[in-house]
Amino acid sequence: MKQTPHLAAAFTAFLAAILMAVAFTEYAQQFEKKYVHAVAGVDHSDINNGSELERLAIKQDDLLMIYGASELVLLDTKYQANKFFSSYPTGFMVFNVATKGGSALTLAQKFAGLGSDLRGRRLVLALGPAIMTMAPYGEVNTRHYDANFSPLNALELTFSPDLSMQTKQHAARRTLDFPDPLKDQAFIKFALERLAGNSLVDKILYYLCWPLGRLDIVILRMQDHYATVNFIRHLSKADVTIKHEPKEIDWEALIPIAEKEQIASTNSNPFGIDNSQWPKIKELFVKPVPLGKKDNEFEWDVNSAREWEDLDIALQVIKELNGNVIVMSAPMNVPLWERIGVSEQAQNTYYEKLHSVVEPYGLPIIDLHQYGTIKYFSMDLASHASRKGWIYVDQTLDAIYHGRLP
Amino acid sequence: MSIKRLTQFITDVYHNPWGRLVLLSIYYLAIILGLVVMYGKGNLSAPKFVYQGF
Repeated sequence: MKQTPHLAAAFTAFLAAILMAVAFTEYAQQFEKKYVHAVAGVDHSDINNGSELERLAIKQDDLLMIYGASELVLLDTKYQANKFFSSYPTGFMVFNVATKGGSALTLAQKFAGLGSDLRGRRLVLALGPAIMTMAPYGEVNTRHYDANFSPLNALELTFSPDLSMQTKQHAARRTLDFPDPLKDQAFIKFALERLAGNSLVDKILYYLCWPLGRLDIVILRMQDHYATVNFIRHLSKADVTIKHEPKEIDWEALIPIAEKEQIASTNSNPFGIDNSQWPKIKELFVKPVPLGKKDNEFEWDVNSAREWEDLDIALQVIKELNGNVIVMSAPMNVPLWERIGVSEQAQNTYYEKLHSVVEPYGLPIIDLHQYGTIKYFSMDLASHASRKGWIYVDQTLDAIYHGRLP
Repeated sequence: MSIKRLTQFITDVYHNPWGRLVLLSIYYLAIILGLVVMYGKGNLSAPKFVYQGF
């Protein structure tokens, strides 16, 4: 010690820092556990790129996790599941992990972020036909993907000890198709490129990256804890007060009430499109298109959409992590698509493709097909649930939680 | 305690091998914590973006 006072002191300081980090992590875990139900009831998009809270929420018996995209968050209404069930009327609440612009590739990374915590846990994977039917080449919008990109989840997928090399390689190749969010992530980009590569050198370099990758994950998880604790500390007293008010829900009575509210929000057009969405798509409805005229184009778009490939990756991740996942899809808005020239028969291509991709994985599918012809179920062409649609979705989620579906 | 006595106290502690270890450890720990505070917070929130919809 006399000869190397700095070395001994640096080692002691390093050890003390590690102990402090461990103590902080323990404190954060206890703190998050106390408030996980409160976070379920508020908009937590500020910490959506982390995974610690999801890891915790998925272990709560009275929380039903829902992963998805804008179908679950676009319309701000009291019928939205995380508001509708906020007082635990039938004994549970949803924990909504959906994001605007979310896609299957983002979800694949999110599931990888849960790792072995996904094993045997029930969650709902909510899909919508929007990307497959409306996006160019059926591919997620680059800006949407970039905004939802999480370095933590990308690293968890790249260095997952639970996933097969084949699945990781497939995911890595797709992740590299979106270079923008990797511009500032030199290490992740390097690791993904080595993972995606086929040469022996790539494989050796990938495994050499492994310890650094796992260390990076540890650091990012601590940052996730810090962000989560900080987020919770800024919630108001009302936000963190959980009410349990059990009551019978009269679903049939709620539907006309929600429909009336929805109709009031569609008075800018005769097609039942929500006023908030009408300006974006009104040019499509200037003159009616003969029914069936757009069938071939629609079927080609759906069948060739790249989003299916990403969904396949997400399902493979779920399978390898043994998640107990129920796939729920928003229905096509049949009358609206008919109006722009796509017959109901052609629209069914979406459901056929959905089943053909999901069924090989043995996961149950609830496609809500039966609601496609109900006016005001969706508020636009992209199948975003309306106020009325949310009642049906809530009813479905209630049935899923209580084991009546699927 | 005056500045002079504090300086004397630290000098005395520094000349003791164990005291020096403690002082240097605190010094290095302060550097580590400083780096964590400056660069360690990270950012796990999604950047604000305009949802373009469909």
